Amino acid sequence: MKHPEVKVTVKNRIEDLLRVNSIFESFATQHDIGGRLRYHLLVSIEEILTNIIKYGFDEQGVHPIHITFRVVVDNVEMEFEDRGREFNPLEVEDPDLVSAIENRQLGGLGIHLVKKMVDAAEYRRVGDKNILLLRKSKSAPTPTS
Amino acid sequence: MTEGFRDISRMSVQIHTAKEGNGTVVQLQGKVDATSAPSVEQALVGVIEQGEKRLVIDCAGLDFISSAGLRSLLLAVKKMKAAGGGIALAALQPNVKEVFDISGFSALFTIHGSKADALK
Repeated sequence: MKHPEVKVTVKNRIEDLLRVNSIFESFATQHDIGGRLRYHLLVSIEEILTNIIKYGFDEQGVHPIHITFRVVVDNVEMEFEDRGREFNPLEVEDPDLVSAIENRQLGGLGIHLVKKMVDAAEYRRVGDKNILLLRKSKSAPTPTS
Repeated sequence: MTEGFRDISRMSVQIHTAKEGNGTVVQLQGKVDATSAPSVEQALVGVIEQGEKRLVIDCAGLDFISSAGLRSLLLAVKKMKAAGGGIALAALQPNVKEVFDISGFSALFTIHGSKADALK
């Protein structure tokens, strides 16, 4: 049975990434999402999720993060929803891609990878929720580098 | 770090370290993601702190890397550079190579087609 939409809720802890990955892998297999496309989506999931876990919540404690995977016509959509503080990851400063080893900084690299690997990214603040939607075509190759 | 966290890390990546020729080879197999990057970082830093100046990371079996993995590699290469040595990468798979290219990381490492070439 091929489900057009799969939802998963995890906690704000890094090991839950593996559960999200495994749910995505089975969704991807059902929808013939493989190779480079699958890789780009897996990287994007990890970068967004780790960002929310690391920066999304001011106070300690367990917070749910809701993730939806769906196929809409020829696009894969991935939606991340949390009730953390207002934070638009798409506004993170561009990373340093050119400095020599000694001076190279790492900030913003994860979000940079996501921007390069998906076709569209939209952030919305709805009430107390951060909602990030990523979209990527199943058929058109993503130009990078 | 909980016990469960370590168990999961072990499943995502396997790390084998061995002296080969006049260098040390760290072979990575599996995924270097946010859960496994700390163990990779620990292994690389361990080799550097033992005084090795020539480190080859064999990536033939590495099929996934994210920015967490890049962060660990950058930390290792910074330490190695400060110690006067170098880190070479061997046998990057295309998807992994693309992450290096997009991140501007390909310029930070010597990249070889195979482990044998990297050890020459």
